Amino acid sequence: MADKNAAATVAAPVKTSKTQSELGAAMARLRKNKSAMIGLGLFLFLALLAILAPYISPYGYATMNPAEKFQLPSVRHWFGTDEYGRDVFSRILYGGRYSLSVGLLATAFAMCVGVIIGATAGYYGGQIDNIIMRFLDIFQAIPMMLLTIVISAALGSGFDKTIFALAISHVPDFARTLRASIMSMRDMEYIEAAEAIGCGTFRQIVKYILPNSFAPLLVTATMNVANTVLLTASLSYIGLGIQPPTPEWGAMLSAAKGFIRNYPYLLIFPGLFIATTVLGLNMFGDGLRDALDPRLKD
Amino acid sequence: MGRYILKRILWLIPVILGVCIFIFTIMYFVPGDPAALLLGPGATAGEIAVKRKELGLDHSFIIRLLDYMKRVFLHFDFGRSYTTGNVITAELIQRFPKTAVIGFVSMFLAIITGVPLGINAAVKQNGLADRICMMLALVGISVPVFWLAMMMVIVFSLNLRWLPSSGVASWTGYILPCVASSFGGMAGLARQSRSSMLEVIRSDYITTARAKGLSERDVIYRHALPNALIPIITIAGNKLALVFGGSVVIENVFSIPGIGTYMVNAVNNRDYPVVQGSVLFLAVIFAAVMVLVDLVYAYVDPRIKARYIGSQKQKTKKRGERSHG
Repeated sequence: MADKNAAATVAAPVKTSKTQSELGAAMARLRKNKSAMIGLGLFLFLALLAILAPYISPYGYATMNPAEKFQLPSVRHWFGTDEYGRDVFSRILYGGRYSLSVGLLATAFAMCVGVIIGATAGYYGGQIDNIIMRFLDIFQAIPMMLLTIVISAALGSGFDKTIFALAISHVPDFARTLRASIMSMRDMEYIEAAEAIGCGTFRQIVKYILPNSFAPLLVTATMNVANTVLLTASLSYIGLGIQPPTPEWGAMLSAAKGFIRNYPYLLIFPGLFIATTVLGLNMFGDGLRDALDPRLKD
Repeated sequence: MGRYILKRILWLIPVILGVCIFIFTIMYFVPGDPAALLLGPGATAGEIAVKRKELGLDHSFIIRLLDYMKRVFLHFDFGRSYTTGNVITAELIQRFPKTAVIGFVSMFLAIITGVPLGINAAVKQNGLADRICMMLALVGISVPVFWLAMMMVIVFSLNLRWLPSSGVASWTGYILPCVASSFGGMAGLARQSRSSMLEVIRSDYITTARAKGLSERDVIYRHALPNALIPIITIAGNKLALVFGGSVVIENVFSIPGIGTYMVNAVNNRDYPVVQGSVLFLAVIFAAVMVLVDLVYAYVDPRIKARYIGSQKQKTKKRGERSHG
């Protein structure tokens, strides 16, 4: 309490110190949430496996060994080997690099574009807002899966193109999130105060509105990474997205679907890794949402 | 109320036109010349030029867009497939029933299982059933739908031999695809239903209802549930989109000759008119479903009814004032 008062007497950093303390409280709540911490742990563990893939994978992801094809999981090959005798465990470790980076990069990209659009709509309001929102309505009238398939089909498959396609289809989520929080903030005193001391629109948005919209954006982003990882797998599975021989998880499932009758283990492991990644992110996202908005807490 | 329904249905028109323009524009920027693609690598420049003219590819973007929209909306003609030369409309209509069965049955399944699960979980908050339900729901939204479908094939078709692993020769062929594609939506709806039910249960009027001695059944089903349903319906559209989109991929897993398989094959063959036609067709069907959801919403939410009656009153009042002035 004393610290807070001391900070409040210093005129300039009042706002930042308050944001930090709120954020600090939220982080404390988050740390106490067991499920969120398990989720974060799962995600970080998988990310670490992907980052360290070149050092920890027992075989090369493209090393073929026809003599050892279709081996069942064993001590030598933890997850067995595929139709070319490649070690599935090593391929999954490397595959994580693609799946996770597509998820993270597409979300980051969508967030940048979405924030700009949402800020424009929310801040200017009126006719501009109306036009942007109607456009987003049309955009979102197409189910996400179909939309991503169309964009991805137009752009072609590949790592960078898949990121781009996924990013485009997720822009509306971020635009709506930011617009909503700007709408609730626009008439607040501190924005008025900023305007009164001669802050330009850009400065108001970047310096005062964005930091305060951080919480809802972060929640949207976490859920979005989860969603994107799932969508990437689906895209790769139907022949878009990232294609074999690249060891992306969805692409591995796509390559293995012909062997479902005789070698089902080839299908089990990549899917388990996708599910675990997404589960971890969703658990963390749930916890984050509860921590940042205590009213939602049960 | 009639005005709301009319307004909602009329709003469908710009949405459908917008979706059409949007999809056409994306497809317009696909690299590569369709005429050259159609004729194969052996074609001469002259042949390609003739084909381009025949397909109307020599016109500008606007003319082609207007032409496409005219054909689609006035004559219900999506053009011909590049690879087979078949009429796309006929293919779509022939394939639609299978897609519709999977899409609608799985949406229906998702709603009738997801919502009650979520509501029950909320009523017994923090109990064992609640925890198990919510853990399952969390797993449900995290599992790739097509992977779940393949796992179900491994268990129920290949090992237990209860159900066919592909095709829809008999109705049993629909069971696995429908259950698999409803799973994600069910889980999402259960989570959403739980949290909106919890919010309602915590509100003051529920405390009042309990205080005046109503039975728990009446409190939950007569007082809490109707209000909790409103946000559930709002979010249902979102989850239904997920189910609907997922069923496109599901068709592929079970080799069901529906629109999803048609579209995915077309994507792999670079058969762009088919991709364009299928997506547009499905998007329009989906937009119509969303209108239905909104109408249910309006029926359930008295505020929408009130707003429309209210606005009419205000308008007549204003008009009256103006005539006085």
